[in-house]
Amino acid sequence: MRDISFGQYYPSESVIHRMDPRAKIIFSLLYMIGMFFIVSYTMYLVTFIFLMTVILIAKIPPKIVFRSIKAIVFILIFTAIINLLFYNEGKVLVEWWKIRITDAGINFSVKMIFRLTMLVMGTSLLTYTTTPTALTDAIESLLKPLSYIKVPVHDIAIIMSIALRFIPGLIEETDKIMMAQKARGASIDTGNFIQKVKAMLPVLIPLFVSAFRRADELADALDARCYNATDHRTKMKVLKYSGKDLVGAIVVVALFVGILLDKYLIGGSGLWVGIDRYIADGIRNLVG
Amino acid sequence: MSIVVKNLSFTYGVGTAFAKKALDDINLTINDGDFVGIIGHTGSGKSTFIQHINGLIKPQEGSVEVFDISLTPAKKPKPDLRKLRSSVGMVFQYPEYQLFEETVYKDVAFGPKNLGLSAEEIEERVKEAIGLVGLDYDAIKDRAPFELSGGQKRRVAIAGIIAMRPKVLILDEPSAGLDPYGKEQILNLIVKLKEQCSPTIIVISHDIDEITRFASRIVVFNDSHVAYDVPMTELFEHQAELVEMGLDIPQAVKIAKALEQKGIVFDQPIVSLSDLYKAIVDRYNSIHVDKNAFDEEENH
Repeated sequence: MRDISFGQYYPSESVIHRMDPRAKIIFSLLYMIGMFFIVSYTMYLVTFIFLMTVILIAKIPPKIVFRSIKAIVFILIFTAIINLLFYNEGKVLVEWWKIRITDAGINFSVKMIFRLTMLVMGTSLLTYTTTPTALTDAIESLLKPLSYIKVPVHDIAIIMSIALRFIPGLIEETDKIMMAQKARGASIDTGNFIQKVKAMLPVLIPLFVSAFRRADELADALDARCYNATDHRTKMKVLKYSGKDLVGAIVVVALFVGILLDKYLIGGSGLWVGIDRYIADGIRNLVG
Repeated sequence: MSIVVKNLSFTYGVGTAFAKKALDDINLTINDGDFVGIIGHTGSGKSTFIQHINGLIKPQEGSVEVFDISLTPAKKPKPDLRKLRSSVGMVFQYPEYQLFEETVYKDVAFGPKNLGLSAEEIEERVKEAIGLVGLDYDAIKDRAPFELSGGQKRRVAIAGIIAMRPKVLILDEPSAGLDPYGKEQILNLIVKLKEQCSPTIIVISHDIDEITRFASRIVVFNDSHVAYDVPMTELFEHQAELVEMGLDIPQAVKIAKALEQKGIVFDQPIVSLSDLYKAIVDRYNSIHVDKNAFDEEENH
């Protein structure tokens, strides 16, 4: 349980860490959208170089970023195989019953793997370099316009930050209760499915009790300090864009424009496609 | 020898940015009948250490031998954890938070049931355990644990462990979060359990005065190491080290030290308050006896 890697923050001293969290969220969104427009291997390579550069600047060991892919290995393999088997366009290389493996299918599958991997790596960079508190602050600030149509943005933000704040505590609590029940001879990880579910009860009930107790205590503590979710609250750390956000914006927009240019203008002709075709041919030769 | 720990090391979060060494080359032997007090700062490794004894944490380096069960980093042979847990009872910090059943009876019976005992045996053990912790079996057995008071809940939770009849009982901060009266009662209960239930007891505490009251041996954890491990009577000689580690020294030791500076030196070792009372009374009596003898001489 301790090794759960949800929204894990990797503390280090870097420009990326110090960037405005709002800027980082916007950049991540742009990056994600961009990923779906990439068509050529060249552009994948360019984006990959961009990604590695950011990781380097953020002073995060690449090993840790690659570890975030582990969680989606199953999805990766699954989508790759489905695409490989049921992609019908292109020259048929192997045909067996209803299954047809084509050169375009291989191409598509390989690109799909690149796309998903880089998507996950890129977005995990956001949580690696931004603390949960900064993230919720940023989301609150970005959603501000919605408060004009009576969306309780501040309440949503505070609920989010409290929820995030509770996660490590609850994980620790689960750990402790599991140990306590194991010490009483409970076998939590053996038996069939129903037995396992039943065995979870001695853990789940105390966990719920303690979650409610904590929530109660926190509510009392907020009350005791006259907490009030009004619009007039001020922040201790006011978010402010700075020069590095501008530099970041220029780089990310340049990448995004590059991707679009590659897809709509250069795509279909020129040297780049030549390289691309070369790689595609290489793959075909490798299989065929 | 009931528990032998050799070269035990453990690190949390191996290979991450948050890796933290909790135990570093621990060697410790706990004999049958020992009453051990473990003391140390938060994060000194004491909790991690006792979790090893119960097989809740697999050793990363070194070995733990409990009776004839051996725990090592090796995957095989698999240790008999059920047998281990029936012979080593573990009361965690705030044990009342682990209560989950509808009735007190069912909750106390959870442990014995997991040991695969017969219904009659379970009933007998539950009755005995609830009695031992000082609760009225008939009055409490059908009540919901959640409607009891804090101190009662803790007793029920302790009863749940005792009902497994462990040969070694480990308690982690048993008096944490209780009022002085509840604390007193739990401490008396531990002494009673030593006599009537488990011959070997290990208690973790951050309050050294608490430990000096009953333990016969003290183990001090500091910075993932065993700083020292001495019989309680020798604690007096180690007060400088305790202060250096930022730990409190027992009140009785403080007073004895202050008296020493005033020229009053006791012959016997003083660790607990009861030692101190006894020493002072003895000294007072001896002075008076001398005085009486002098008076008698004068009369002659």
